[in-house]
Amino acid sequence: MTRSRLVWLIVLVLAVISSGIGVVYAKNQSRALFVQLQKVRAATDMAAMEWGRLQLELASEGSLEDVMRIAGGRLKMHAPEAANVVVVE
Amino acid sequence: MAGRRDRRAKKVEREQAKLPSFAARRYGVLGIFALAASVLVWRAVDQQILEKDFLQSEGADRYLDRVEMVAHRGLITDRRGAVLALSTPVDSVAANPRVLRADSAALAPLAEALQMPLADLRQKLARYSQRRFVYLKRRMPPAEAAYVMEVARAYELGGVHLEREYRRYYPTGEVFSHVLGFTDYQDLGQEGLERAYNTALAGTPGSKLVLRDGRRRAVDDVENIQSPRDGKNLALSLDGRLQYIAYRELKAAVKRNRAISGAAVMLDARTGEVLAMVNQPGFNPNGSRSSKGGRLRNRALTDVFEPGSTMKPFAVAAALELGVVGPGSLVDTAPGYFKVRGGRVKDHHNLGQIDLQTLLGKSSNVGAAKLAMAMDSEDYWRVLDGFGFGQSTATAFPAEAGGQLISWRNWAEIDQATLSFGYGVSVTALQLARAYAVLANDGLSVPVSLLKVAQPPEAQRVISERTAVDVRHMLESVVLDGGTAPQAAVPGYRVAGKTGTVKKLGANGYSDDRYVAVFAGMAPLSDPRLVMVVMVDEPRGKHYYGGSVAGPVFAKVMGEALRLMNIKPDALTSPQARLAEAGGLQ
Repeated sequence: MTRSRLVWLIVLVLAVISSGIGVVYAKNQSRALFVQLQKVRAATDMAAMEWGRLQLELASEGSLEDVMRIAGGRLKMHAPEAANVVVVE
Repeated sequence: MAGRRDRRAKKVEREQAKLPSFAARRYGVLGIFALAASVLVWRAVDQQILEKDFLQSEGADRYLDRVEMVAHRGLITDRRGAVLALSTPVDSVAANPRVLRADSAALAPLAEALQMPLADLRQKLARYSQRRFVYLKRRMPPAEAAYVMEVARAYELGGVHLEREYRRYYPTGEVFSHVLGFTDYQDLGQEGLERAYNTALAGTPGSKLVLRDGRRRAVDDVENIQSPRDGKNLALSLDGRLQYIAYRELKAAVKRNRAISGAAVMLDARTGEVLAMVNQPGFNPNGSRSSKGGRLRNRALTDVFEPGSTMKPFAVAAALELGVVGPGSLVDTAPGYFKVRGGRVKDHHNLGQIDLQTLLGKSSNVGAAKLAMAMDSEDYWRVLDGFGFGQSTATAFPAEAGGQLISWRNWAEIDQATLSFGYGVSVTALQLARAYAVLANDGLSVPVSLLKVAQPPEAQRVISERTAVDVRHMLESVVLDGGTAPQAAVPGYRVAGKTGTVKKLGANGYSDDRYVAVFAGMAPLSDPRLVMVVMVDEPRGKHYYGGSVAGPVFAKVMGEALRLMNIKPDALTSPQARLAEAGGLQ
């Protein structure tokens, strides 16, 4: 075996080893990131759930029906008659 | 010395003679060892190399598992962003009755956490004691379900677990029920827009690999196979406020007139967007959803009716457009009836010589029929076709009806005559609204849409601007005193519209006591923005005329809509005039 061949062999062996380690590292990294992603996803779900709850609350509390009832009942408001409307140009 | 050596040699000889050679046995044992070793090596080779894939997958099956990752169903909002449909997670509590026995101690706190009587829980577990799975309680709010699990853990009750499901909520309840439809237990669209846009709303679920322990519990996430893609949100063209008002008024009118059903549609005349679409009877999408009496049907889109007199403006528009008459022409309706081949057309009263405005204001059948007979069949048909009669509204809504306009080739003389006052043609409420929108939009037709439109779609000219303006001004007389629908007037605004009181077609021809009351109109007349059609089926109260049954619904909803949309009143007396009236202007 000539000297240059030996060098090549060593280089290739090292390359194989490092690529193998790279694969293992990448796989591990991907799993770690995925676990993290799952956590974030769960947090998003929680936030979305809360948001949904608040949206439903908003929809029921702020419905036109309630607004009109409170405006007409408790606050004694009413829409102006056409005779009382003046349009400012 | 020699003797001693001899003795020793003899002794060795003796011993050698006594010990047999074990070579065969030795080789035999060695052979057995070699065989055993080679069997082991072969087995190793077999398992490690030849059967490797099979065995590895078998192993993985026992500790790895593919689990679906749910894609969230998209929201549905109204045009202003208010939520109309929303999926929220709920948890169902399930148990393995073989582990959680009916006679377990500490069932009482579990029953309390589940908010169910202890006896019921015990009975349920006893009944399914041979099964491995039973739902204890379905669709609990996640916080309450988490509390159940806490209790189960605290009392060391095994065999209880949660299953995540999604439930769709409709905060507006019945108001939007027909338009939205609803989803099934898997959160897939079953009716309405939920069904029409199910694919976009549902998204695509993903999957992942998880590690399971000896009890099949997922202990760790291993790998992402496919990320879930959440469903898209849907923004409707409808306005929640207008929808609510329309629903309230239609419901009241249907009840007041003891009608079978009703439908109302409001359109933005310029963009073709549907701003409100309501029906009666309704249903609660969060509740039982019984389909009794067709209450699930979005009648405004799925049910057709003969438009009756609401069709007359299109006869007038066609006659003007085709040059058969001019805006100032008179039509002779004397003596109040009119014979055509195949039948007779008549009015309630003999109206004599009338102009087009009176024709529409007093709703003369004879006048409309005379205009129709004066037109060439094909030309008349082309104009009606342009207004969209017999053409689907193409909103992609499930079971959307297209109405019917018979081809002019198959018209008998009587068909051409009755068509002018709306018999022998069928429409949905939305189709009729679309046709009125052409009059409102200066003769241009825009496609209608249930979804919010980013920019106005390309319009198609149906009739000239002149004709559209003329016809809609003629329609103002309908809502003025002396017209057929003064109840449809909106204070502060100029309104144009047309009533229809249509005899229903039964098994024995047209009925004399079953009607459909219709009103179609637009406002503000000086620059129409909103078009609305109200249809009430079989009013059985004191009134049955379109003007008195459907007119008030139009007036109320249109009035509120104009105010909420900040549309300038066009029928106010000017401030100067008012001041002068009050004597404030010197």
